[in-house]
Amino acid sequence: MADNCITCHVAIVGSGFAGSLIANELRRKGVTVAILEAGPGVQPNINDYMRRFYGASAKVPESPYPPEMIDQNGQTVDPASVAAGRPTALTLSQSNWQDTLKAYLDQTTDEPNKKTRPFKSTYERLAGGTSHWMGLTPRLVPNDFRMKTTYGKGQADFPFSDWPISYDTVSPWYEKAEAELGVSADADEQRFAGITFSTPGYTYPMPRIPQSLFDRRVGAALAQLNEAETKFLGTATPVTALTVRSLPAARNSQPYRNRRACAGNTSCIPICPIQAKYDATITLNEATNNGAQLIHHAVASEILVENGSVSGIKYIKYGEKSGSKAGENCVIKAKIYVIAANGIETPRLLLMSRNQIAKGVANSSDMVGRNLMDHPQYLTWGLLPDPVFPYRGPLVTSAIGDLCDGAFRRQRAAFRISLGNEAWSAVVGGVGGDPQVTTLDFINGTNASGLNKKDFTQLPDNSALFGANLTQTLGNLISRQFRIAFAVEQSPDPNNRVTLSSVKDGLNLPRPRIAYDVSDYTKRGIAAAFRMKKLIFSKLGATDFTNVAPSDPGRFDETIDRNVEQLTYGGAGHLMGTYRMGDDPKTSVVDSWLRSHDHPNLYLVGSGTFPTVGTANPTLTLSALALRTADRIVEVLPSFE
Amino acid sequence: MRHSLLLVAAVALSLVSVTSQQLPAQTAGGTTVAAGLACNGTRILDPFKGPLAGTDLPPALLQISDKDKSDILKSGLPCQENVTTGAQADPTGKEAVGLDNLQRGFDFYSWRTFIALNSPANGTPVDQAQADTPTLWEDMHSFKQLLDVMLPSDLQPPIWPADRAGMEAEQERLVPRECREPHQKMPTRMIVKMIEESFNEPFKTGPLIDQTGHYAIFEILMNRQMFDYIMAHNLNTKAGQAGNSDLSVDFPAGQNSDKTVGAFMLKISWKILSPSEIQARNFHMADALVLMPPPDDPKVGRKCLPETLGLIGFHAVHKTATRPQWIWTSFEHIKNAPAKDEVGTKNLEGPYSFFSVDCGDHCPLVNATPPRPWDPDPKLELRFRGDNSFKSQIVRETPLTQEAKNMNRIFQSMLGSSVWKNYMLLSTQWPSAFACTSLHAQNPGAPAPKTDFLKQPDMTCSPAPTFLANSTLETYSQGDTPLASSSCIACHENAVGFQRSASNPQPGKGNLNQSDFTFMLEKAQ
Amino acid sequence: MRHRRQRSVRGATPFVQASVVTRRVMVAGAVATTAVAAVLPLATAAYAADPATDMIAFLLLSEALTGVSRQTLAPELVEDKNEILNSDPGVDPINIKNTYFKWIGDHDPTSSFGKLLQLAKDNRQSLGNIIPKVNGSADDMVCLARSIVLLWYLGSWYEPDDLKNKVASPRVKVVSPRAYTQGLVWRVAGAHPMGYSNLQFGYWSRDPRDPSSPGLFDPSKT
Repeated sequence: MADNCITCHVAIVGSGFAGSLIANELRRKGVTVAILEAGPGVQPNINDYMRRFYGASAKVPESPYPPEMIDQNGQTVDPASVAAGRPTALTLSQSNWQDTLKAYLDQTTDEPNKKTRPFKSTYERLAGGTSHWMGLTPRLVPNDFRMKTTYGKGQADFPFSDWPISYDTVSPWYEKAEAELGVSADADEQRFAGITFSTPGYTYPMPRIPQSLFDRRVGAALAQLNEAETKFLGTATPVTALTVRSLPAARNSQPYRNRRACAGNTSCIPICPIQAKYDATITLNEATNNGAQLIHHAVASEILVENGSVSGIKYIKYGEKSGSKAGENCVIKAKIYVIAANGIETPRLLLMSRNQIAKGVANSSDMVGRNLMDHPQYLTWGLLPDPVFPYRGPLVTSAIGDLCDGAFRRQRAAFRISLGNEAWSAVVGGVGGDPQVTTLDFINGTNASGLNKKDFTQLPDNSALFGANLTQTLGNLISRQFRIAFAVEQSPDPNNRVTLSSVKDGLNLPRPRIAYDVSDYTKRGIAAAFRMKKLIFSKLGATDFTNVAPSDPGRFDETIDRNVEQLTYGGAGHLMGTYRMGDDPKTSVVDSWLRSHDHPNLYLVGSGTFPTVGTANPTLTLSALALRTADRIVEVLPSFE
Repeated sequence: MRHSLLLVAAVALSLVSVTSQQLPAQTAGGTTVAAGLACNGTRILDPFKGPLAGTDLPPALLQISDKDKSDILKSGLPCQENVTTGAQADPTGKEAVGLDNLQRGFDFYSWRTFIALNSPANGTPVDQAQADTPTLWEDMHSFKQLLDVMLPSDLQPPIWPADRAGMEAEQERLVPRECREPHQKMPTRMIVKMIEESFNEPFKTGPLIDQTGHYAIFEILMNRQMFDYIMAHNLNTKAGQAGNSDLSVDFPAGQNSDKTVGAFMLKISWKILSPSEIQARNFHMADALVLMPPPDDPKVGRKCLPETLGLIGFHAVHKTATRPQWIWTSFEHIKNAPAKDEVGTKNLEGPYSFFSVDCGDHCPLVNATPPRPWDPDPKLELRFRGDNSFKSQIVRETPLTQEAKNMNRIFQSMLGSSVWKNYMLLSTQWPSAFACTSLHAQNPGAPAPKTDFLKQPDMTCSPAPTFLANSTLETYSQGDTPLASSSCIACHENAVGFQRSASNPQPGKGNLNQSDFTFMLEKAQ
Repeated sequence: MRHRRQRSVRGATPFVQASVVTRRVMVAGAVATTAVAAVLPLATAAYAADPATDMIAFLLLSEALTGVSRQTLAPELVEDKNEILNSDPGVDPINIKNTYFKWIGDHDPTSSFGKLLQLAKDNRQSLGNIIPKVNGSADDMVCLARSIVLLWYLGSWYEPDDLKNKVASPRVKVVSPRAYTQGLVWRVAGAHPMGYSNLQFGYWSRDPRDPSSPGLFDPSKT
């Protein structure tokens, strides 16, 4: 095949955010780059994605993107037949999350008595990577980088490590990443929890996104709190007010680099119809326009190591149709190799690459695949006393971030409170399930939503309505729905890990196997979030509809204020920690430049490098680090000639 | 207003004799009388006797009387659309379905517009126009290039004098350095700068490469009324826009009653003509100087290439009092590309500019974007690849309606042997929900809107047809997927400028920065 | 009457209302034929398919059941004040009513569609009777009626049988991208379908209430 024996300066596996940003930076500096992308390449337009999205009965994150995992007859496609599969939201229910004939990730356990919880985050594998992201780009705060030093004193088994770099080191790179992605925010509003800006008088590329009506409602409700009711938070100084701040987002509030400003289509997850939300195909296109070579439908299958350095990467090219294995093994050779395949696929590739090395490529620390972390989402939803008109504007415009740091982190996980503009869309009937569920309830006389009761409708329970009754009831109720999500920090646990399964994918490669649980530290954070929810809901005068399905495989009980409460968590779509950075090669996989301790010409990028995760969406941080690493690669490349 | 509501006979339907589309006369001192395009405010209705629906166009329909033909060809630029149901001059000449009937009215208006704008600037009748006769719209009196308005802030702001000498001086001022010498030799050539928007379709969807391996070139122009509004409100720079946060951008609208032209925008696509094409004279041609991007080697200067360009695509967008969402019409050369349903039949009448009939088994993927890199290599001048290895293979996804095809046949027959018979109307997109448009129309009696839905309800007002794409200007976004596929109004309603200042004003306060359906304002520097 | 289209706007091209609207037969225009070609059940003696009036019956039925005005369901509807069944349903650029009409005809396994249309015709002078009569009719008819409402509200077809059996996860199919974008439930709630907004930057920070807009929810009435 023509693509065999590609040689270049730098080979990159994965054309997602990190991979595309690095490729683009390298091309700007004249470095030759080839990118392997497991999925399809960039399409001329998003007609197909949008058509798939509009036609999907469940508007889940994967709905626009190939490969389609539901066939014509509504049956789940067996991942063993798919060349470049990935986990999906529709295979996370009680009945199928551990069924490897349906779910891509093997989440079965060999220990029948061990309670295992689902890892609930999903991703995409195609050019541009996980384009279904929300678009939120907050920074990590300074203490996130130094958890052990700040909060671990005197606690021998405090589960956190410090990052080998500080916020101040990353700060200028945050600015560069914000320019690349096109972030809309207000710098003054973002100065909390110790956030500073390295450029004096820094302004974000675009003004902040306007707040929604719900944001303002919450802000008004939390403007005055008394110490007694917030004492449970365990902050050093009492909390007497909470500020709702616009969340920084890679979402245009003005024309930016030939893309339109947001028009509030309210479908950020999974796709923006007008590309006002940044996705990595934008940077990828710049990179390929500048000479980077993109080889799509090419799955990296093994990293070859000779004499301690990477000597090549084997990859398999396959045909357009999912699963058809068209090509044979090919090899890409470069001076430097970058694996940017995300927090699950990167450790999978490393573990698949044995090379007679005892623990596998880059794994002398035995940390590859370990410390898998997400931001477990404590999802809450309710009904306000009067309308706030959701389903308008971006899915999330604001958050309460001030509780993401504080003395309480000695004992419990922090959380960030994100205010949702999408009513109960993500929480009732699973992701992408409403308003279908609520509408069906009132037309067919069921009560899956919890709303079809006299208390809320002044009509008999389980009413089936027509006509004006229907419009008024639905209009009244839906316009009062809201959801609030608490993104909780997860503490690292080496037993949460990615390994290899015995089940294979369509290319006969072992699929990832996941072992995952939520620690007591994190559960205490969820419990605090539960109490925060009660406070917020009472201030809003809201009726709480949050509930946990008995069949929810992630559920747990927690005693809070002497009541046993049922809690659970959702996935944030964040895949972190699985090849952590650190100074000590015995306990970390990469150094602060994201270079493997074991192989001098191998870089592993993305949020898998995060030793701790804080409460910020990882995209901005991984982008900043990617730009920093690209810079470093340009610097060190001459020594590899 | 529509459909089955019959016009009461009182309306006089005579086709009043019309304004000539010649440029205002030059006085002895070289100054001209009126500034900008002139328009005809008379209601002029299509005289075609019969429905245009159906594949068999009655031969009788093609027999346009000489008077009708002359009246139409000389009727001039409409100030405003004359579209109501049953409004055709001949009561038998209307479509059965109201929507189709209105579409016919708009399509007639669009053809009149096309003819008026492309009529010779020197007053020659359009049906005698030669391929290289300069048109009215190409004249510096009528339209100005967007790039000549959105100047860098270190240049003096643009001006548009009323007199010819003044206009020429302004043009001279903006001639790029590298083009001065060739410009002196032939000052009438238009100047095209190969920036991103000149070769890359909107939102960077891709360049278009013809069968000789050359880039298609795009340009955007505005008329004097639009220019005047921009300058009056300081919208020609980013700083000016930001300083005008409270302005609700509202370009002037064309109106029959006072013969105002209103704002007009053009988007044009050109092809580099080969010597044999120049000789064949099937395209409207214009001589141009094309300024290439800077090469990698800073010591090598930018080239300014003399080219003969052929007109291949023509968007005309007109804001009128009754259609504040503007009226969007698009024309193409008849030999750009075949329709999808023609491919594979024996009906292909090549050669096409953007489709190869005889590529056999080695045809490029239909409607695929070219391989990257896309940027022009100055060494290759306007060729996409040195080895000409790529040529776009384009088909029209959405066929023309039978009504549009029939109207095209009528107009092409009227245009006789002039070059303009080689052009066809694709369709006209217009906002069909009258109640919606009326909320925005100039209506002094209506109270100022208070709420979201009154101020800015469904801003698209149900465009008809729902989607519209020109195969040379929206090549890669053809289709019928909502929001993703090309629709003039649906896309342009998202256009914003830079009016808002850096920190957010009070929530809910006033308008934000909508730029009245044009992306021009975001090109300000 | 609430037909906004007949409002005269100063400065607009003048028009005059006709005093009489002649009955229109659905001529075979490209779009009109789609509706006429819908296969209607002819099983019952009580119902005879009549293309010209069936669409109007469908609109009357849909208006009664959905609670959304027929003018919103069929934006180009021109009503005959004397005999509503002689009205012209009109053709608008999206024409979703035709899509739904055909879909229902194609997907109704029983003969309930015809019966519902007849019910609407029979009660056209007193549209307030439609809901109680539907509710009092056979299960198949009720469930088809509910599927019809779901079609208008969500652009999706829910199998009437699954509705009848109150299946936890009913079989559901989005009719088409276009149908999804015309879903009414979001508009009833003062918003727009997720992924399809015709509004503009910043609109979400403003209160959408517009009491005078027909077919949209008026919260002051709850």
